[in-house]
Parts: sequence; structure tokens; C-alpha cells
Amino acid sequence: MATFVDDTFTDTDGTALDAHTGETGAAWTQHPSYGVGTDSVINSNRLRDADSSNALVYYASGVPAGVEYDVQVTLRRVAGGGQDFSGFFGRLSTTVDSGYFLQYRVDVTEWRLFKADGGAYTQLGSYVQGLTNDTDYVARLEVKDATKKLFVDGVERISSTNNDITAAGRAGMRLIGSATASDGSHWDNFSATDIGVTTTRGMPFGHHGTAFGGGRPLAGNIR
Amino acid sequence: MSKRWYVCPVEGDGKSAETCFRPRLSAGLNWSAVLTDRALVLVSASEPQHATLRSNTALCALPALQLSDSLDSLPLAERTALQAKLATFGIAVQARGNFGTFIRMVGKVMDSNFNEIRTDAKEP
Repeated sequence: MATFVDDTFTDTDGTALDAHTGETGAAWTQHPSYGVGTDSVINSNRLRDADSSNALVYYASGVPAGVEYDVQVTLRRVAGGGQDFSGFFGRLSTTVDSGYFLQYRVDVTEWRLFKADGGAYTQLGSYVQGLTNDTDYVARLEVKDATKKLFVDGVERISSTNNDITAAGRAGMRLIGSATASDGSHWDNFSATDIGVTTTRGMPFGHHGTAFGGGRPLAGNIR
Repeated sequence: MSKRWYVCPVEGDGKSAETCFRPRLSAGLNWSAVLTDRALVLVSASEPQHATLRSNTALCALPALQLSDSLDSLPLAERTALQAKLATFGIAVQARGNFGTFIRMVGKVMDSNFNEIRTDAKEP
């Protein structure tokens, strides 16, 4: 599978996200539907919000090969009493506020999956999970036409069949809350990976015959 | 019987993730919404959410049946009450026959593309 975005957020403390460039496809641009507020910043080689009033959305420069891909990021709740509603996107349009958004909402300790469609947000699912402070949780948003799924540490937690947003878009981050160096949601190891693209390289086409014949999603057979 | 369906009003103005359109459910529940941009939504949920959801009078809890079961197995009074409750949501569907067909009919009131086979709700 081809990784088209990879960012460990390794940089000098205080570097604004849109002034930072990660390892692969990770030059970040503020989304035009947002853009008012204080930039999110690198903090101890992680990303955190720095504006308690405004949501900021950024998309990565990496372009997916198709419309189906995974977006994965590691979330660490740093000890503190602040609130945070940050999360990340798949199929994020670079022009309008559309895509699939996965949020960890601290006040109710819930993962929430949304569809954003031209600025209209609709919640598609919810999963309750209290997070232990200073512990890493790997969240993966699997974006396929058939389903949008959240996996936390490899375990499926939310599944939705909504596919109203069909364009590939980009992978991105949305940050809002009251995070500081010693509080809030801190994000690390952001990556986005095409589903079922490069694993077919060099394999005889005939190997896929059963996948098509069985009527099962191709990606599900080769991952 | 793990997964169950609930007809639920939708709240929110949709203008942000914080004020999104969502089922009118209290926080702290696991659920998956089958459709979301109408005044009502069909929500699927699994144990142990059912006790809380069934006590919410703003919802209409659909019977705890398998898709292959028949609504005709339920007492007439229960089916009549179900129809009456659905009618309060503006849903006029006869509570009889195959339960899977019934679910699809209810779902299609809100989404013409609804298919109960594709719904999902995860265990905690």
C-alpha cells in the first residue's frame, strides 16, 4: 500500500503547522473555509491546538491515488482539565468544508464520526471511550465507498455506510480546544495510505479473479 | 438479540462539528446512524445501550427481533402500540409480516436507499 502522507511532527517547539513539512506529502495548508485564529503548533514533536476559540483545519499536500484510503494518527491526552474537540479528516475537500471527520471529544469522552458536506456537519456514529492520560491511542479512519470505519488500536469502533462525499479529497487535521504544552489532545504519527493500490504490483491479474467473482470488495481481499 | 433499531429525532443546526445534526441522544452511548439529514433518523445500537434507549420516550424502539422473524409473533396489542408510536413520528407502516421488510419500510420513509443489511452497531 502506498503511503502518501507521513508526518511525525518532528520540529522545533512552537513551529506553526503550516510552516512545518513532514516526511512525506506533509506540507500543510490552512483550509480556506477556516483560517481565522492562532496556528496549531508543534509541541514536543507532536501537534496540538493553540487557539481555544476557533477551529482550524489543515490539509496535507499528499494526494491519494484513489478515493479509498486510511488516515491514521496517534492521540495522546496530556494530563489536564482542558477541553479539546480536535480530530482528523479523510476525503477533505481543499475548497469547501466537506469530508469525513473523526473527532475525539474530551468532555463526553466519545469518538465521533461526522460527514461534513459544504459546511453542514452530520454525526454518523459514536463510540464511548475514556482515555488514560499520557497514553497513546492509534486511531485509524478507514475510508471506503462501502463504509467509513473508526479503528482504535486496531479494534473497530464505529462503522457507517454513508458515502455522500465521494471525491478523494485529502487527509487533514481539524483542531479546536484549549490545549497547551501540558494539557489537551496532542497528535503524532499522522499518515495516510491508499487501500489496495500497490499490493497488486507484480501479481498476475488472474489472482484477483476470485475477488471479483465473489462479489466482495477488491480491497478487502488484498489487504 | 444484540443490535436494535430506534427511530430518533434529529437535533443540531449542522453548522459545525460541535453543533452537528445528530440523533437526539444523550452522550455516553454507542450508536451508528443509518441516515442523518432528515428530521428523523434510524439509529442502530448494541448492548448495553438498550436499557437507556428504551427508557427515552422521545424515541421509538423497534422490536427486539431478528430480521428473519415475523412481527406476527408479537401480541396484537404490542403491534398496535408500535404502529401508534410510529404514527406520532409521521411514519405509517403496518406492523406485520417479516421484520426485515418492516425495518426496510421504516428506513425508506427517511431514506429511499435504506437497506437494513448494511447497518452496523459495534459492541463496546
